[in-house]
Amino acid sequence: MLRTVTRPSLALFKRRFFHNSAVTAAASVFKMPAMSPTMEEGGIVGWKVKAGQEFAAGDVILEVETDKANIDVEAQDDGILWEIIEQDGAHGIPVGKPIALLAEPGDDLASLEKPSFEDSAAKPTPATSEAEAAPPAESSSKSATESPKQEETNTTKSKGSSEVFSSANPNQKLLPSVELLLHENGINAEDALSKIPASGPKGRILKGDVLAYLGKIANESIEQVTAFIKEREHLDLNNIVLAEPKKKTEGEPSKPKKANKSEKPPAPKNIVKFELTVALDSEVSPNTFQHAFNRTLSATVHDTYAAKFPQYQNSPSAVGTLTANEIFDELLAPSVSKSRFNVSVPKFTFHESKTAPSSTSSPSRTRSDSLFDELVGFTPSPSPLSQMVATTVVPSVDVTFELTLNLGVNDARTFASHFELLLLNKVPASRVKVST
Amino acid sequence: MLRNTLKSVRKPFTTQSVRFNSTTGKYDIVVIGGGPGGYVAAIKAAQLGYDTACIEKRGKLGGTCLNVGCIPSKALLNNSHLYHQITHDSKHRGIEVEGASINFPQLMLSKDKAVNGLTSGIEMLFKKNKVTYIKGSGSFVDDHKVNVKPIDGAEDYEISADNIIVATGSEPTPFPGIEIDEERIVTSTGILSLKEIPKRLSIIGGGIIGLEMASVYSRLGSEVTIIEFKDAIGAGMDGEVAKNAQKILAKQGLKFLLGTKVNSGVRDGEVVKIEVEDAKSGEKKELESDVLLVAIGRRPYTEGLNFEAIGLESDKAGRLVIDSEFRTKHPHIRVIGDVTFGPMLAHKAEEEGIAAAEYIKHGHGHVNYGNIPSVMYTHPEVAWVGANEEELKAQGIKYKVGKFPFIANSRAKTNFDTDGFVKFIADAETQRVLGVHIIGPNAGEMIAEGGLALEYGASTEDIARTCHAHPTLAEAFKEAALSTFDKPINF
Ligand SMILES: Cc1cc2nc3c(=O)[nH]c(=O)nc-3n(C[C@H](O)[C@H](O)[C@H](O)COP(=O)(O)OP(=O)(O)OC[C@H]3O[C@@H](n4cnc5c(N)ncnc54)[C@H](O)[C@@H]3O)c2cc1C
Repeated sequence: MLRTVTRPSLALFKRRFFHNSAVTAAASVFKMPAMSPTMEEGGIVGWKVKAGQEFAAGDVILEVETDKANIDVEAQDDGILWEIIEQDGAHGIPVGKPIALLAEPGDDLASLEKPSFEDSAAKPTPATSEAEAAPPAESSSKSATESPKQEETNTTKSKGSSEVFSSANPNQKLLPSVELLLHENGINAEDALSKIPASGPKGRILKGDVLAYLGKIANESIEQVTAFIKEREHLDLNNIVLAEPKKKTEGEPSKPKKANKSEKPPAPKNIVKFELTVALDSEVSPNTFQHAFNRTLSATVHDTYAAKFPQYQNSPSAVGTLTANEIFDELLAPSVSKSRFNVSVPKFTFHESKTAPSSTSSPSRTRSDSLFDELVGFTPSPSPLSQMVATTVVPSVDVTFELTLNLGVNDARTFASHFELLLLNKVPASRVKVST
Repeated sequence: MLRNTLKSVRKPFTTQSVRFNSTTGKYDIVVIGGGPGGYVAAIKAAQLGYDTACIEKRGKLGGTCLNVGCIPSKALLNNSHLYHQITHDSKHRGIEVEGASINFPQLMLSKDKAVNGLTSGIEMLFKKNKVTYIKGSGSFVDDHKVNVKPIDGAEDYEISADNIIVATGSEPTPFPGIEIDEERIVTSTGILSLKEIPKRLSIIGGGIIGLEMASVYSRLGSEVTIIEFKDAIGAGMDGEVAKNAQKILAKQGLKFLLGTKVNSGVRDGEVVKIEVEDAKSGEKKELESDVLLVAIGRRPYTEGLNFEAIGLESDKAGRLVIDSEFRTKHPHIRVIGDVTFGPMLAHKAEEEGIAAAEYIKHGHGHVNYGNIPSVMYTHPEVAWVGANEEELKAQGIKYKVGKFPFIANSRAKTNFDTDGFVKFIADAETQRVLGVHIIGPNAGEMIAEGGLALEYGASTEDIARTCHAHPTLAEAFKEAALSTFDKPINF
């Protein structure tokens, strides 16, 4: 959240986030920043923001004194300076030592959790605790704007200030290449850990970092390749091309749609068209209804087969396990595995409101024990009579779908009419039209 | 039959009408799908203390990978390789085997045994970790409720959960116009359980799945032709490695038709007729085959999930849309594995399963997408991790390549198994490892060391300075690393 004035943008870390996750808000620790690769400690010339005060991105938060110069530290994002730990005039604060606590704008300071930074302050090399206490930016659960913050607070500035370097994790076992380079150049491990900015994961000093420190290669080389690697650590979720939005009036879109109703050529003989109108309670959403209807439809197909073939009850996919006997039987009575008919994906057209049909066709709602009623959440009406007033305005839905008979199977028609019976028993339609 | 009725149809209800199970079925976390993504997420969630249920409709756990993917394919690859070695690569070693032959049903049985052992193993793990295993298909009712349709035909019921993890996986992408019967024209599922060895096998698609199946049946005696639209095989492989792999596989007898379009494929009695067209010249040819495998890729699977109804989005390719913490528009619904973004690999799905459960518990989790290895289990194997040359060129990153051939590795020579090489790609100035590409015996095991190097930001020098046992194939790994910045010792 804080940055030195020269900080470049942190676009690299912008990733796709929908939400802030429901983790309890915790303050973040702001540590003495390293303003140069050689800076080991610094002083606080003065805080420019008071404790409890909000600040905006770009505001100067404090002035830091180094052995070379006084430098302004600027906020990258909006926030609140919750608590100042190191007051104005403090000197000799080691790089990485906590100097303040920060909160997010809008955070309730009363319920904010204090991070445990005390022990880190006690240790001789404060950056250690950084690596332990703060999760790496990429696994942070907070919003995108926060992610860079942690990266930020442990960023050691070097000449071409960049987000790829952090202060070295002092607990690391040095890589063999690093150890050798240090030895060849007369640098002891302790110095290396406190002075060489690290570009490796979790504060690891890499061979390239030592080469850059020795001036043998440019920092930019490391920055470029590290940025490339960090980019690849995440899925690219920024350029998603969404599927065409599905229209409300269509059923499950994954299946190919059937031709639509009005101006189509006469339907072939093996197609039975169902048109139903169902009155809806105003609480029933189109989605709930569609879902309920689709489920009822598949349950009815299942029930149709189950009524003829008891074994279907338990094994709806008993395909391809016929014995020789069964194959012979099949010549007379086709087996359970033969499909008798297919039901198309239904189309739904919802009407805001409609004059209720005459009292005789108004569905009575004295029972609610059907699958369908429970699915759409119909409640038994205490007074069915009240719904029979012809002028009552209720929302409704028209449902159409087609049943295609497999005429190759000799009992297909029997199945289809049984299906029709079962379905019309389940769905409290106010208007039904079945046509071939 | 023409009836046009206006009638009241409130008849007495049939006994089949389904009742709700409203007393049970409230969980902390429900996972839809029991594949590598889903089952791992469920176990991890249970270990983190959540009351967890996993819905799987296949009847077996383990998903595509264990049932019709990684495991059965590797069983066939391993055993067919063994057979091929016995018949073609043993005499000169002083091993004489008379009349070795394939018992195909037994080969398949052995594969099934491997699969069953592993899938029932996961069921044990569910029991051990107290994950409720629901055998049924799941479908969203609302953003907290899932309808379960039990596979045994029992009544549907609903369960609800505070958090839902969707891991419904993927299915083979169909080839437009070619009708799959899983007998003569098959997907990867059908090819794993053929009834007999086809004399001629044609494969559309020169990706990993296609090449693995090509290897299996070519070793068993099929005449195998691979038809690939692109000019190279092995989608995603480093270009140089892909060329090399093709050369070696062609030497083993596979026929490649690259830059070739398939116009049609139809079953004609007991054979399949395939019309192909040279993409450049437009010259058409008809091929005849006993079995045609369509292996042009996989697509996300969401059939029956009813995700649209609760407002979840999918992209053009059918992948469910997530953010970087796997969350959908409903933050308590997360999506992992093949059904969302990223490479369609079992270990990627597993990593995400762990991370998703950890996000729910701790608010953070981690998958490093820059470090997900890929392996093709042909012989020799091909394995890679990190960036390839083509990607680095496109990004303008300066790199150095270090290569070491197995022909110069003592173990490979001892084994008379010397095809291939190890190739390192490292940053030109810092030698930081950017990618490792191996073609050779045991490449799939060796690639793990490359992953470790990437994870720690190692330079090739770090690998070269790490002691590797002698004589091992891994010494080739070390020498290839060394070659990026210095001279190899043994070459
Ligand atoms: C031939 C072949 C070989 C392969 N080899 C490898 C390999 O060597 N290495 C590798 O890493 N990967 C391999 N893969 C890919 C690997 O199988 C997948 O990446 C992996 O299985 C993805 O895991 P997943 O959990 O996302 O989905 P899946 O494994 O597809 O599992 C999803 C599960 O969800 C179930 N499901 C779907 N919808 C519902 C619903 N509504 N209700 C209930 N259950 C539902 C499905 O039945 C399925 O079991 C291979 C794939 C194939 C086809």
